[in-house]
Amino acid sequence: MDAEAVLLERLQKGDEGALAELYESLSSNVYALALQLLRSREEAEEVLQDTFLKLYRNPHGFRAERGSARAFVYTVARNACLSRLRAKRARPHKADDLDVHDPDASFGATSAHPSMSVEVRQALAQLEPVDQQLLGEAFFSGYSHGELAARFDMPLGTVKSRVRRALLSLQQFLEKA
Amino acid sequence: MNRVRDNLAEYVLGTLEPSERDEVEVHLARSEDARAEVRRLRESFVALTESLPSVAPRAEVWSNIQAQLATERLPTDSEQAFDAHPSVTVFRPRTWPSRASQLSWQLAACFCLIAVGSLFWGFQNYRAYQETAGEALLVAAFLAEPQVQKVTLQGPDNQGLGGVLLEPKGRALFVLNQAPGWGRAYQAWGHTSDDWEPGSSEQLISLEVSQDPVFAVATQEFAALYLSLEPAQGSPQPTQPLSRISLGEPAPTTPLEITSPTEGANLASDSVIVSGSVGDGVTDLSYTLNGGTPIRTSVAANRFTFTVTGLQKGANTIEVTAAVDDQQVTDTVTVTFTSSGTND
Repeated sequence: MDAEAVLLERLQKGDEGALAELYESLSSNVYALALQLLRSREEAEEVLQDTFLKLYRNPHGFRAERGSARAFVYTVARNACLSRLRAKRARPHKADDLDVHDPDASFGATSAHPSMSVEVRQALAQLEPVDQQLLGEAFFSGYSHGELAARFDMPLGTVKSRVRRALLSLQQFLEKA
Repeated sequence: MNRVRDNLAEYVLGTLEPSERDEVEVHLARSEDARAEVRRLRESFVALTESLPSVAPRAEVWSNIQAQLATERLPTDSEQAFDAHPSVTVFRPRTWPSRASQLSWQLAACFCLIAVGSLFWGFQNYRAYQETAGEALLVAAFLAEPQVQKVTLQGPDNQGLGGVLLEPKGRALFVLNQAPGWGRAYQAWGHTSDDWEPGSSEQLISLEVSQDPVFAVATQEFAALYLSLEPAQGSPQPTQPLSRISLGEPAPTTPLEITSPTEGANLASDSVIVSGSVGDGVTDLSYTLNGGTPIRTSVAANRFTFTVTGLQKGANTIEVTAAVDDQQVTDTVTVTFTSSGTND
């Protein structure tokens, strides 16, 4: 059992200290994910806050047979972001005033997992260019497969197959790395 | 099933339409291969998330979380009070609450009880409540249980409250239509009998105080669950009862059976909630009190519940009659109303 799963298990038993440890461990990644999708510091902070409050209120949603604890936490956050995007019924434009890669931005720490970023970049590079694009827009911009089919003028079934294949290929590559 | 399999990636990415998510979750409940693929897809999902340069949030965010948590915690003395009564504690009978409060609970008992069976609640009904992945996973986890029962809940005014998923392992998941509102919380309670009423000498056991509309409770030791609406920090006992759920037996092999109250029960009030079960094919039934005028009542999913009022002091006989295959079947129960006595 990974460390975050142990923390979720403690949280399920009412150990509030586990929430602080979970926040310490994952908040930077959750915040980065929310910033990426929402392009708004204020909204990203709200999602971060909502995510950990929901974990506190309902830690029993985690089931190890469906994925890791980190996947569970990131899914809670991602779905909160996607709900906001759907509510706005508009794809966010790239913010002019926010660049998470800008070293001068006052966001504090840089990547805690630089090696992971390299590995993922290498894994993505193994994919066909169109699969890279589809996966990138699906994951980093939150486009649905239907939206991707329209944007890429591609049959929906093809988009579904390609994104699924790309994610599975990515996992295989990372497993071997 | 290829269509569902092709949706697994988008399921993980969170952009499926609700109906498609339902299909995937049903498929996941049945297929270990699909669950294994979802685990693999989520590994990539995690890797992609962590490939983003992590960004430390402002300290105020954690402060806000702590402040919010502080407002949600039950008072310590209440927690201790509940801990001090791990089982049902019997006190002297107290006076009944106001007529309005009593009527409210009785109406709830009459109308909201139980409609067990998968036909009553489509998967899409759950979907509307799944605001978060955590809630979605929680609902999916319950739905994945092969023996899960789905129970609809109706409130005192016959309004739909949502439902409950009952898991044979001894857990229940409340899935309510809406959040309790600002400064309010849902509170779930347990009891070892399903005829508890406000004003009863017995105290309910608090199981959960939730400001979320989806929450799970343990049910192992209880015969019934009760739901009420309370202040955000919860209450020692229900102040605004909404509904109850009998954790009863499966549909009987006998055509008609009164399961509550028990034969010879002593009651401290002049009303009693009667519940039981009937065989397949029974859609309505009637009951009498002490041989009086028959009153019709309804059956849902092989179960019935109604409130009998106007008990006389001393012994009272309640007779329930149902038509099964053109034959009348009856069951009776005798209870004793002792106005100053103690509950059994």
